[in-house]
Amino acid sequence: MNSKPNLEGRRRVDITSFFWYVLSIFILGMSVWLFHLFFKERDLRKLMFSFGLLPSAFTFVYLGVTFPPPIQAEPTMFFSLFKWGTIPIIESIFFILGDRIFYGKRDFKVPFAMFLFFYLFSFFLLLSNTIPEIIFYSSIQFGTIVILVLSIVLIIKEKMFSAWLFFLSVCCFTIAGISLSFYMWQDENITNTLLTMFSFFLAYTFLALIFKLPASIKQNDGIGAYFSLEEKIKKIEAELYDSERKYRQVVESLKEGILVFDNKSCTTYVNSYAAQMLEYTTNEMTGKSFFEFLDDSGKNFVQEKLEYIFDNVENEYKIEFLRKNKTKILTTMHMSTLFDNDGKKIGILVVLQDISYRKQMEAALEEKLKKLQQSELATLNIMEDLQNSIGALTLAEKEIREKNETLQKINIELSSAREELTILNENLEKKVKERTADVEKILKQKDEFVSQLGHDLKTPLTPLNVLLPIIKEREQDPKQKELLGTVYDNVLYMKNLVMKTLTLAQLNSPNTALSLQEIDLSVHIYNILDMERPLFQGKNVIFENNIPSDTVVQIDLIQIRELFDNLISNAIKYSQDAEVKISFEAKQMNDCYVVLVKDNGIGIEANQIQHVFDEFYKADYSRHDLQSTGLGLSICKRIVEKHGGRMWVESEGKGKGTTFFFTLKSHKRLSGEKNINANTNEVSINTVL
Amino acid sequence: MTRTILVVDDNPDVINSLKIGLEDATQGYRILGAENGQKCLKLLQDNIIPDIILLDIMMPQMSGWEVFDKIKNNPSWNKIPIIFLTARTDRTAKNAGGFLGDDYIEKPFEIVDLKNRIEIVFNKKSIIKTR
Repeated sequence: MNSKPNLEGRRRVDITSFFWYVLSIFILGMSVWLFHLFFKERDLRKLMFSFGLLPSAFTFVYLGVTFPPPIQAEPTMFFSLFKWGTIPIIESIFFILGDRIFYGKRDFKVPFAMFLFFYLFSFFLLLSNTIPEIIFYSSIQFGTIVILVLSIVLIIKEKMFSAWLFFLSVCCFTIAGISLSFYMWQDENITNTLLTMFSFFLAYTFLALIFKLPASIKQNDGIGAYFSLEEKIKKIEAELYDSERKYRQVVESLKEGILVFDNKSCTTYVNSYAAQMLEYTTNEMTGKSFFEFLDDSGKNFVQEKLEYIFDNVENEYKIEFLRKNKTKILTTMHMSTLFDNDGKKIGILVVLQDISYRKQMEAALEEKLKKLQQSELATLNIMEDLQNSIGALTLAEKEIREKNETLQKINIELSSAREELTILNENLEKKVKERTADVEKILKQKDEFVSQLGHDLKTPLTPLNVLLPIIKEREQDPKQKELLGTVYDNVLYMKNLVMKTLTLAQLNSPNTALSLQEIDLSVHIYNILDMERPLFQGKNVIFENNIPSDTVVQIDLIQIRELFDNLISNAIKYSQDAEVKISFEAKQMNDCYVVLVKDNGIGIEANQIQHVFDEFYKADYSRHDLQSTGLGLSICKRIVEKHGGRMWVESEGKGKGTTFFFTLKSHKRLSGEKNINANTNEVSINTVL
Repeated sequence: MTRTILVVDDNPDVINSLKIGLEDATQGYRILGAENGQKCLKLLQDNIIPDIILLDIMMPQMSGWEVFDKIKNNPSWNKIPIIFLTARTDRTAKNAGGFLGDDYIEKPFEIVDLKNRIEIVFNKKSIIKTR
């Protein structure tokens, strides 16, 4: 390579580069202008072309930097952008032609979305460098051929100037592209370069022309008109025709005469009702002077008025028109000026209303009024009489009103009293609630205190309880022994008292729940006796169990043991014979068992029988008996009640023994209930079926 | 035959009184005392195995329940019968005492009553003869 052609080439390249840059700026400007148009008109087609043109700027900048383009593909992003630049413009033209030929709607959203997709898609494809050169170039050629064909189709279909411009633009692009590709295989020469640049310049000029056609060519106005306005106009024309027809119908069907005359008083439009009023036909009236329908005085009147109504003031007059047969018709006439778009007066609109009928009606009305006036006079007399009686009525009314006021006052007082009462009531309720809470709290504290005290007393009682009998046993002095016996009895009494108090406190506490078990009492009674053996060991006690087998009851084992403990110890305590006989019985009654505990003891006197269940109650004769705390039977009763039963006592009198009765819920009742339920279920199912 | 009874109670008066009371009432009872659960377990660990344990429930530090649990979970001790001594009257104590242990007795008790219960446990036989 020698340096001379290189130098020449260099200089030429400088000029060429300059032209490429100019072209690039031209396109950039066009893109910005289209974007601006989009903002003004909101036409997506413009936005599409703005986007489509933009990448071409890259192409030309690249060509300006490295001209001629390299034969081998460069792996730079700049080169990719250069290659990509040619695609969007082909896409834009393809979509706009395709839309025009096949779609043809005003809404361009769908083609634009497709365009954006392919725009970005091709961008990423080229940047990622995944398309072989051959496919890229052949697809560009294929695309060019397709848009060429499409523009020819458009020319044939629409026969419009802008279609020709599309065709020319596409041709120029094709020439530019072919001449540019010559560099790939041939040496550059100045003719070729000029051809390329000139073709590109022409191509973009044609495109620009499509968007801004000179008004003289008057193929409407640019691409906006080409692609949307035309449709719009057709539609508007149809709408216009439609609305015109509608208005005509409305005007024709009006029950008012409508008449238009121009500046020369020549009638240009008459609706059928106006014609009917004046007994002409519409055709007869149109073309005639408006003044022909008026008499002389009317003519003068209207002419005079016309001078004033030339401003757009609306006026209404009463005026007589002449019918075809020269009879008169009284109307109200309403005149207003008509203007064209430029504000020039073009005529007068006259609205006529036939009021001759109205006039007649008015006369009739007047007659009737007269008659009314006459009758009014007569009425006046009656009124006077009435007024007198009204005076009397007013007095009475006044009285009533006063009474009413007093009543109202009383009512107000009453309601305020009622309010006070409500407030008082509320306070009372609140207080009751507070008190109840207090009482509950105190009761709880009492229970807690009793049980704490009980526990604290029990432990120190233990050694006393154990040791005192031993000490008493060891004591030789009978006097001391007797004293020790008294001490021990008191300790025992204290112990019993503590235990029973605790038990009762526990039974009274709402927190104590029963743990119920179903058990056969006839068998369980032996277990109880087994456990209570210390009570009667060494004493002559005979038990008789007459409870029938299968007496299944629901009981709390521990509490039932306590119950029997109390009853048995009671029976032993209040025995009169050497031999104590205690018998147990049970009878089924409805849903529960009545259990009887019968002894052969001293019995209870009739006047005491109602008190035996009272707390700390002791029959007189045993008041000083240290063995009795007076709590045992209260405990028994509480236990039975906790089980949901009842307890009572019967005695035939002193020395005739005592029978305690208490009820316990039977187990069988429950199962029976279940069966009944099951039956009712079945019945209800059957009825449903 | 001498029977060893271990009394576990935090009140030494209770232990002493039981010592006197039980030894006095029956010949052949040897009474040991432990003032808390740890001492009781210590005795057992020293291989002093009583024939019956009288166990208080409410003790400081280690409750009767814990001691009971430890004894019953030890295979060499779990055959020892236990009677609970309790000042508690609530259901839990009664239930647990009666069903977990061999018996329970509520403080304060009669020495005769306690002795009977101990005998019952020893004899392990039904006492119902009286009808």
